[in-house]
Amino acid sequence: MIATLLFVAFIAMMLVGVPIGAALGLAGATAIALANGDSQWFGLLAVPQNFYAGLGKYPLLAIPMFVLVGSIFDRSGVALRLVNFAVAIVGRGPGMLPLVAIAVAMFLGGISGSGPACAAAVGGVMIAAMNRAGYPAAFSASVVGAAAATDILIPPSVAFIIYSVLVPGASVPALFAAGMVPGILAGLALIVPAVWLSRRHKMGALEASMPRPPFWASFREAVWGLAAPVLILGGMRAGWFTPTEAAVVAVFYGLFIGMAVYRTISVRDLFPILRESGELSAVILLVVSLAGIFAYSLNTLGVIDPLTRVIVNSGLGEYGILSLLILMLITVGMFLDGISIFLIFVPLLLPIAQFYHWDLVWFGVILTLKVALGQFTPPLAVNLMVSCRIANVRMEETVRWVVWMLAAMFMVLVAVIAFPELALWLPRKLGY
Amino acid sequence: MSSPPHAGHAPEDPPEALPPLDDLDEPVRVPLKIEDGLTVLVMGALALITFANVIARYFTNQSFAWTEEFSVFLMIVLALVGSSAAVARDRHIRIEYFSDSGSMARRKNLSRLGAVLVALLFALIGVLSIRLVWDDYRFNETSPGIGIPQWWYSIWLPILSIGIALRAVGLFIRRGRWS
Amino acid sequence: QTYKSEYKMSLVLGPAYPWGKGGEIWANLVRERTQGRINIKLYPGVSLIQGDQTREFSAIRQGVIDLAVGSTINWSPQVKELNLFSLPFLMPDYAAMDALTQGDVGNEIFQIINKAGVMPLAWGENGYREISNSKLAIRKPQDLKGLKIRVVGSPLFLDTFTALGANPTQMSWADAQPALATGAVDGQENPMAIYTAARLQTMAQKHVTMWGYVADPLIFVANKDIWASWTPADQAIVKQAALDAGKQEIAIARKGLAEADKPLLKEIASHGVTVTQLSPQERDAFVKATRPVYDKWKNQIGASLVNSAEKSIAVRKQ
Ligand code: NA
Ligand code: NA
Repeated sequence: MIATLLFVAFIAMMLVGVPIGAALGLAGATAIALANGDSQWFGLLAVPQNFYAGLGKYPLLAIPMFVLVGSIFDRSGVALRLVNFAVAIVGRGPGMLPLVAIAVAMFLGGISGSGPACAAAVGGVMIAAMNRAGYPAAFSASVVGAAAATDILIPPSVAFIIYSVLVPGASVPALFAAGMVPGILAGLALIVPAVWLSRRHKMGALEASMPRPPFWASFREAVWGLAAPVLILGGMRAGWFTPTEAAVVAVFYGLFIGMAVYRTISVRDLFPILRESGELSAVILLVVSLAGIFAYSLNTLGVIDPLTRVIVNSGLGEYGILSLLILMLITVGMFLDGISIFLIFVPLLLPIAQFYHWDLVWFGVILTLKVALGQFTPPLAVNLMVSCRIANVRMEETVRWVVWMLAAMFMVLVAVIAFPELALWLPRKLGY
Repeated sequence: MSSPPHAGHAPEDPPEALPPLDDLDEPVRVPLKIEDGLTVLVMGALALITFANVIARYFTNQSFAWTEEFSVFLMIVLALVGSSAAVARDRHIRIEYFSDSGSMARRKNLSRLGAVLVALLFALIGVLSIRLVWDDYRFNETSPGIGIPQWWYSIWLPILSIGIALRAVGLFIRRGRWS
Repeated sequence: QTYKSEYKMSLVLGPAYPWGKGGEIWANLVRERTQGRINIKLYPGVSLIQGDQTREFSAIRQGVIDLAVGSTINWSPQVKELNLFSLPFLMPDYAAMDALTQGDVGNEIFQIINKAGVMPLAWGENGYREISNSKLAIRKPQDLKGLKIRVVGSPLFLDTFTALGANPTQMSWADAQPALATGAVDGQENPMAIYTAARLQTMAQKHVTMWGYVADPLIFVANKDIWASWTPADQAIVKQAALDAGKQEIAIARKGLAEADKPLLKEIASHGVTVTQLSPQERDAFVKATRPVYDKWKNQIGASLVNSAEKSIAVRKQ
């Protein structure tokens, strides 16, 4: 009864546009008060305790730092140099610029931890260039929005950090390693429709006539950016720093490039960079901490166990249930952002995963792939929102292109479900 | 992983071309510079402390073992202070699909409802956390890492929560002027 | 008086560990002996406060948690006297620990916990904390010089390892495991039950030294309002069940370590781990090196409590 109210109140508040964190916190607090009528203060001291404890975790410090990394690399000029270098390699021709956009997004994914930040950095360079080459703005926005979704699969990734905080059995290094192959596959899969659509619709006709940057000069320019993922991923692997600290190393490396090498960032720019990334991090962290209140009431109302029993006894079988879960999450993902999906659904789904003895690292990769798809599935598509704003198009116009990208990345999801080794081989090889 | 950054800039833009963010804000009675300044300070401190720790651990045999506790505290302050600004700017993650469509009256009412509920939640957290601080104080609780009085940390929870509630009240009033 | 349909018991570790097993035994005994009047659900991983162990004691006092089996280390921020058990090399053996928890010192600590707002019921045990590292077999304080050791966040632990010349690093357990695996941190200290369950030998922890520098007893407690809501007969049942569960839990925690041939250590050694046991002379060198820390903290904890602890240990039955 109270559990039903918890969900109904939460969903109702969410649909009428109450901030998601507030909807989680209020629904949770109401359920706690109703369930603990005869305890001291209606058991409500669980509210500030869980609010504080939900946030007071050192690994979460990686979130503001990776958001800051995104903001710094966005302004540092690294993306522009990487694009020039990539063009110097693959050359000019129909479909080449979309391919470059995807490759550069994947590469930046090895530095940044969040999709929208990647979409901003790549979109800032690529969308204007693609416009000049004759690609329609809606197509460019679709390519960039989809390509940036590989960012949360390719380590480092804010998504994996949150999953690891929710699932202590899955360590951050293991998740980071497990995301690598699926992330690269997702990028490669996106190249197929991007190039095919360009050729079929004769887009980018002007591209062939644009100048091709000289190879060595553009390599020299790009080398600082090329070294960044090596430093970040290699440094974590070599034990120079923990995943939490890796983000901070990336911050200072990005500042070094931006302020000393490319001179694209001045001291005066630090204020807006820190302010913007600080506020955006706060928005994310607040949902994390308010979800702690929701989690407490979910945990103590005793709904998870019976729900799990109903699901596993439904007779659908392991793969039937997995398909159903993904279908449900795709529907939910049309309206909810990735962090909220993790915070709300991981506690609910974990007992099911444990019942079937699914590998929790593999399960984390599956969920993250799903969230990555959601980042460019309209109507709520955080990456597309960014790329559409840069391209100055309405999201509706992207639908006819984006469906192909979604289909391509969905194939990767199916492949990782069918062949768990795609995710699990690398972490095992590295000994996590 | 979510929620778009506020603006995408072409990296070749000269610094002057960065949109002056404060000009985009609606006018507010209590200047947002308070939260913005604190946000910048805390973000900068978090980055510097953690970086100093990596450097110190690697190049010397020192480590600042106390920093983990302090960094976590700073992160909590960041979440609350940044959220306060984000409430005033109406930038928290929410489903805009239904609330930002329809008649002006409907949009206005739903927006005000959201603001009232945020104010209610943070007023509740603020009041309840006063009990937390009081317990920390009267039982002489110390922080687990460095052993300083715990209420030095926890006192900021009610203060900043009430701050968020007041920002939500401010948003409620401003949305009331929509026509 | 109204009974709740279910009571919430907080635990740091689940029933796969002696700690969680103790909680499970307690809950089962209570359910049987009260014919289901008192029904307890376990919440391992301190999930009632999002895993934050150091807030557990406050949460019990505030009614967020009804019952708990908790560690003296985790509760020492709220009850400073619980640092007693973390005084380096205070307790030389299991008999010394029993002399404290089952004697006058134990009673005095229970009174202190009671005054801090929580109802104490029985003692259990997490175990002696032994040190492991990836670099060398530690036999003397000098061997620790410059080693980066992950410690639980507590000022006393930092002081102890600093005094030994090590480089203590505070880190959450979640961050610690990858840090150990990649060599960002050289070593850690924990009870052997946790070493084996977390398979720390796979995280480069190839050298274990059985130095038994501190041990953390566990305490079975209840929230005071919940306690008061039960009939005296039920209170007696819950208390006796805690005592019985505590006794069984201590036996489980010591299994493989209390026997003369220490079979658990043989099993760990069979994974290619060097297990070093200190001779009395070797142990003395560590005692001497940490003496200033001991003296400093003796005053902070309360000299009279530490004195009576020393006395109880001196006259302990072997
Ligand atoms: Na990434
Ligand atoms: Na979506």
